[in-house]
Amino acid sequence: MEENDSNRKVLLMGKNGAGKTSMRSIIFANFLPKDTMRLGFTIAINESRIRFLGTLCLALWDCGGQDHFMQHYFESQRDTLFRSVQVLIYVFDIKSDDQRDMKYYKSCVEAIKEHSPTARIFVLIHKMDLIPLEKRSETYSKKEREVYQNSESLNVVCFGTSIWDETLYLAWSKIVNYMIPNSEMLSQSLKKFCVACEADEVVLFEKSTFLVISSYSAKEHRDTHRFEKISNIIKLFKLSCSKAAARFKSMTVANSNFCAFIDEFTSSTYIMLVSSDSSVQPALTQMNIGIAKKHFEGIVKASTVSQ
Amino acid sequence: MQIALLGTKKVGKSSILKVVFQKMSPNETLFIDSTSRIEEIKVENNPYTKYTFVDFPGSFEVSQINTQDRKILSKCAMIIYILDAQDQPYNKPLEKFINIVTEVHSFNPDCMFEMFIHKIDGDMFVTEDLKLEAQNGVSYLLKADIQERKLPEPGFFLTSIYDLSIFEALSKILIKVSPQVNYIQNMLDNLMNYCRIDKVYLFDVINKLYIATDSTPVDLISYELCADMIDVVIDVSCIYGISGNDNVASAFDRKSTSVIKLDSGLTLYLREIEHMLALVCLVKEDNFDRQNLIDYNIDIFKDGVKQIFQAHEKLLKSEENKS
Ligand SMILES: Nc1nc2c(ncn2[C@@H]2O[C@H](COP(=O)(O)OP(=O)(O)OP(=O)(O)O)[C@@H](O)[C@H]2O)c(=O)[nH]1
Ligand SMILES: Nc1nc2c(ncn2[C@@H]2O[C@H](COP(=O)(O)OP(=O)(O)O)[C@@H](O)[C@H]2O)c(=O)[nH]1
Ligand SMILES: [Mg+2]
Repeated sequence: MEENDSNRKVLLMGKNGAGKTSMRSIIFANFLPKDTMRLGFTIAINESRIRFLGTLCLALWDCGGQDHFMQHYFESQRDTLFRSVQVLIYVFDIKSDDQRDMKYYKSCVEAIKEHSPTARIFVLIHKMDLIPLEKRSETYSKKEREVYQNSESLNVVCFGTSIWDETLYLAWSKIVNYMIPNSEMLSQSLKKFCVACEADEVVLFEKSTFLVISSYSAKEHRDTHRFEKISNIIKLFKLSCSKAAARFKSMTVANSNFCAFIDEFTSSTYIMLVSSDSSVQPALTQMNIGIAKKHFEGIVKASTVSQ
Repeated sequence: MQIALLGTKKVGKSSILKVVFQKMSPNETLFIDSTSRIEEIKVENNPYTKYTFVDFPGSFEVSQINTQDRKILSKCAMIIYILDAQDQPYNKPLEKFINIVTEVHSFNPDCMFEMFIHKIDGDMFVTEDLKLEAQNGVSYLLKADIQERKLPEPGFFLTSIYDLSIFEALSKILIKVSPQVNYIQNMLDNLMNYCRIDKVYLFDVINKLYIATDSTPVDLISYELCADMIDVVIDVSCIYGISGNDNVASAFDRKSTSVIKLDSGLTLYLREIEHMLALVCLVKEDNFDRQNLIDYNIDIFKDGVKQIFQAHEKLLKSEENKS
């Protein structure tokens, strides 16, 4: 594959049945969570190219996790597979106690260390919904500790995830954000815009995945996972629109405490603007969004190339 | 208002009630136990949707009816008979149905009967034709008995808890037992004509059942879209519209409103009408230009609904006092 700057190689690995194809299909191919029950095994490696924010190109390598494939990855394919990797995502099924799983993880880490020492490793401890709520944080911490112990002192970030709630969006937003080289510029511009509109907060979502790209909050909010919840809510609604052969364009939701706008923004993003100040006129806000569109088109583009 | 659910064992009676009224997810119903005694589920989302659903055990037989069962059934305005579409042949459950109708009709002649041909989601029913075939088969098998015994004819509904068909069917039959609905429907028809709305539903926000709609036919797609809109509105309002320790119900308040625009040229418009009741309109974007006009007419509708409900409550009270 060609390796220019905007081409990012992402390895998605983990034992078979861990949920790799499920999450990829939900985030990038608009599957409903319940549709994933119909997915078959991934045979060997499924490489998909994903355009993101217009100009970023992710090459996502979904590596089937059956034992004989795994063996191949670490032996005959080791040099090609683990070379020039930007991000490794390793998925653990929290319900599986298979000892080989940790062994495979360790082998991955070693291979990465050797062939792509600058790569970032994300570990998703998946299917957390299967653990009763009261045991979740304890079970997660235990697994996380085990992961760190096997990470060869590389810089690894762990997330607990489930396809049934917003945790999936939280993890993938963080992963994708890591791949946007110039996101600082974006968040600065967003801050200015938020202040100019007198809004409580402004959030930028990628258009097709609805992953959070950037945000600015002028006010504190009790719920730290709210943006990912919004991603999840909108993504599900987008799917119900497609059943009616339509595409969702924009949305306003309000009650006596708030007003939220979600609207198409630049060619690759949606914007959400939340305000709790009832003196801010909805029509004015919509006009502001309209004016800012052009300006942000360039900023979003610029944020995807490193300086 | 009391409504009973009857049927043979494991046909899905308890699942239906749990999915629609207690927010259980369809997958979880695999683990619910067989019902061994009569259970009641009370629904009271606002003063205007008050129902008691009576879940009968599948083992109940009219031949062994006792005084308590009889008392319950004589108070029912409606009986929903659930038939498991995946459990052929249908002879036994249909025989049970005829026996129940015969018996109940003798001591409660006003009671309405509805039949849900349920679990219509399996591999056996992949096309609409196969579903209709099942319904025609059932209706054919019942015909002779019903005519011979001069029994009321039941309405048929194809349902499944895995999609919104069960919500739609329940909406339709609850409308049949709600005396106020005719007036509301008239008002909705007017609203629709004045404002060039394509379709309008009055929704119970909590269960996502519609308690009234205009007189044009309901299609599952528009209903589903509106029901999904309610999910969005409640979910977003739960994040931004309530303060720390408020409960979920306060997310939907007097000023709750939402506009969703689709690229098909359709706009979905939602407004609060009464406590936990929302009006959802499907309007062409061009006709939504005059939102002021729509709002004005919705305000009038809102007043009208209030009056109808107040009159209804007065009536209920005076009846209570008499008895
Ligand atoms: N495929 C399918 N299965 C359903 C549907 N509704 C219910 N079921 C399943 O049918 C089984 C029996 O459901 P119950 O609700 O316990 O049946 P019941 O009529 O209350 O049974 P008794 O209490 O024994 O009379 C459960 O495993 C449900 O998951 C449906 O719409 N489709
Ligand atoms: N309960 C639960 N099941 C999941 C979750 N994610 C995926 N699954 C299920 O796990 C199974 C295997 O998923 P798949 O994506 O094919 O695994 P892969 O081999 O890693 O690609 C499927 O039946 C999914 O429906 C999750 O978060 N929770
Ligand atoms: Mg039961």
